[in-house]
Amino acid sequence: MAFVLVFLILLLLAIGVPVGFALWLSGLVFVLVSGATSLTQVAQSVYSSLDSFVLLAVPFFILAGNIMLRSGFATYLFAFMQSLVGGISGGASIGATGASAIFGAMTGSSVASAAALGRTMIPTMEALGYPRSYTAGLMAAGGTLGILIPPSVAMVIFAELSQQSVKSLFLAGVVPGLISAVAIGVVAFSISFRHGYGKRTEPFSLGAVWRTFVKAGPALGMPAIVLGGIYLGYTTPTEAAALSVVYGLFVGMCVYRTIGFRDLPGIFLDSARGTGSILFILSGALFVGMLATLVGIPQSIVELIAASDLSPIGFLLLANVMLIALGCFLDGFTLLTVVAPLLLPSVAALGINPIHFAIVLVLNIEIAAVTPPIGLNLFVITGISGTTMKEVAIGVAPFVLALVCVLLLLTFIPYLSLLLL
Amino acid sequence: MMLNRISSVLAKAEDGLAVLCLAGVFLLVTYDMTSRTFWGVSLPWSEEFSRVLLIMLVYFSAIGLTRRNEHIRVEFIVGLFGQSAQKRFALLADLLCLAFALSATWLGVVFVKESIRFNLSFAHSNLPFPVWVAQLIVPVGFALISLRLVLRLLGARQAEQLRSEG
Repeated sequence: MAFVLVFLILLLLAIGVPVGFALWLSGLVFVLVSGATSLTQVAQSVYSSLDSFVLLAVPFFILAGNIMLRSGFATYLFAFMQSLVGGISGGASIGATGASAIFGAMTGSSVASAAALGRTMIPTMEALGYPRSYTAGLMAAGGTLGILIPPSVAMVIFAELSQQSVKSLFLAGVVPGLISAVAIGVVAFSISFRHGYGKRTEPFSLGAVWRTFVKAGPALGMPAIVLGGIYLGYTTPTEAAALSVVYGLFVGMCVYRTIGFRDLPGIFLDSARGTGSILFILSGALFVGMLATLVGIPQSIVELIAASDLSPIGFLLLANVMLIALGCFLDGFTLLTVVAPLLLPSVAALGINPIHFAIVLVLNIEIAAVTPPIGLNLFVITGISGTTMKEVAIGVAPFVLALVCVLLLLTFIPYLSLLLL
Repeated sequence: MMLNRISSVLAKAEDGLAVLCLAGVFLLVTYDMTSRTFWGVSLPWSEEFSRVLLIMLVYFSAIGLTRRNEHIRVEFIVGLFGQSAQKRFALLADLLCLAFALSATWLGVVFVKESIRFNLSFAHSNLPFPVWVAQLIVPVGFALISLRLVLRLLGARQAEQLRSEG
């Protein structure tokens, strides 16, 4: 019976049925065939699967990301980071990576990060002599930091799927996020240095650092307010997400004056659509997850793993191989919502800390966002940079290798993920 | 012509309601947070109503996504086939989505009827309306998704007919 459910999902996904519908339809057909639960339960799930206060953080983080995208936060951040590395040949690569990391601490979505940063940085870096393929690859990879460095929409979804604390997940993402940023920065600088990219650069001056800092200051205040509120216990993650929207609106409308009331309906509509596309899939995934548990699929996986005598590290390595392979064809949220519920019981059975597993999973989702042929960040950057998907994919390849190395490091050393807990 | 006008009015209503739900939930959570922080008072119904608005937001957005054909899907495998096969896959995918949306509409009606029959109310708050009012989003949402899918299928058929005639 379990085979029928998995086969149906894969078949429907393969023929191009939207992911949310594929999950719901497979679940419905499975209920009709197996009688695993009642039809009333299906209707109940359609409504109640999204009945969660934690999930409210998702639309707010998406909304905050869109406000920052339209308000030009990335422009001021990049100018500030550039001023810090002034006079260093290839320094803009480091500046761009730093801006990506800071933007990651402001938004919870890798697509919003890639779009905001790419629009600003690709033309600027091109003017400084960086080839477009390289810059596009760097921006696609830098954008992925948006979902590992807290806040993170992916972690909110994982928290809902696994009933873990959002705060703990956010804390756990800090060190791995910084390691990923350093890895991307080192690779970017090495490539620039080796090929002599970005030799034209403004000399370092404290005056420029101060001027750009004053401009970027309001944007830099965002991570402090949002993350500080959560970690100091003043706000729940959902309230912190709402606060990030309030702060983003204030800075965009009153400080930078780059958005006005007329822009708000468009920003809200884009955010509503972003929310709908993610949470509609999540609702289907929660329903299928419930069915899978009813017919014992996760338990069968646990038994299979127990029979194969896999160690926790062996399991995580196997999961990495599977997730990287699937990530080439599935987008990150499908990967997260479909695969995570199946693996979580095995994670518990093997004694792996679920927070550590979450970090490994999110890194895999990061990699999925930049691996062809289906990589959301690749699509976003291709659209923004006016280059081909192939060029972006070539540009991003060294950064994918760097992220895989970080993935292995974090897989083998759980301490790095659990350091701040 | 008439169908196009109705479709356009409906589209504006769907998008408008999605925006209103998002704005509403944002204002409610922000107001509650501010009120609790500064005055130590919290609205007893804000959390439950926020969750209701979130569910409505997702379904109104899902209707818009269906209209614009923007739901996330796996396109890689279908992309390996030729143009004509891709069109057939798209048609099949739309028909399967329609089958589910119609089933969910029917299940939603049954679900709401049950709620009315048992006179269910919200468990944790004193929201001034019964649960079935919020649950109506399931049949209404999926009925509108079905309508969007039917319109797309009809549009595809018309385009096919025009091509074969011209």
